[in-house]
Amino acid sequence: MKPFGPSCTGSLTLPDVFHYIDYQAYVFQGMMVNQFKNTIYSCDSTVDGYQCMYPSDLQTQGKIRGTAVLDAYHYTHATGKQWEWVGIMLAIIVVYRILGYLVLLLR
Amino acid sequence: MSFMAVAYVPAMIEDLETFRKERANGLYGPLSFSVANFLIGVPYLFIIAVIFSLITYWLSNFHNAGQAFWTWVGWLFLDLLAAEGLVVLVTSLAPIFVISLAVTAFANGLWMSVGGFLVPMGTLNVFWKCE
Repeated sequence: MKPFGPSCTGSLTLPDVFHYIDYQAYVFQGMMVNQFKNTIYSCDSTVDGYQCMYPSDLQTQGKIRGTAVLDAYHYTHATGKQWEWVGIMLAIIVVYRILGYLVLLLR
Repeated sequence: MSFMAVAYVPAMIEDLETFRKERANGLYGPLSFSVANFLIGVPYLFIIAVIFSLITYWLSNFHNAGQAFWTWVGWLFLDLLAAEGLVVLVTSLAPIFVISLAVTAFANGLWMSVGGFLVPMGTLNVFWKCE
């Protein structure tokens, strides 16, 4: 279902824009990557092996690689992506400040 | 944390009152006010980010490594800077306590809804995110 017609194949919808200018989204993604990129978790063991919530290449050892969690929730964890988010964050901060300055200037 | 940036609204309104008076006297311009307002916030926001993280980071059993901790602090610091920028913008637009409080709270609620925090972006309805 596409509430705004052909938006999903091409241009952005208004709600889409909200996500892309959302500073909290970049912070949360960065924190998720920070937490899961280099960590390994243990699975619960059952009578016939292991029960792993997120399947990864470590499943046979009864472990979960943290990146499997990121993949499951569609969080990008490519190297260098975090610096792109930092750049976007700085841009958002600068834009808020410039807009605030313009409001004070014009009022 | 960014939601609680609305706590800055009353102080910002007082600053704006002072600014309006000084500007009317021709002592002070919007640029110097904006720059000073930004600079004065930076060290305190960093201290807030560090203190908050020192208490909650290991309490939440997050990744136990020095680099991961400081990366976390960095994200929180950027988050607070952006949240403060939003508060300053909204309060300058509507220097009335109730209105700027409501607008900032609404904006933060919206950011939380579409940020992939309450609902992961992978499973969010296509209305909010097209992939």
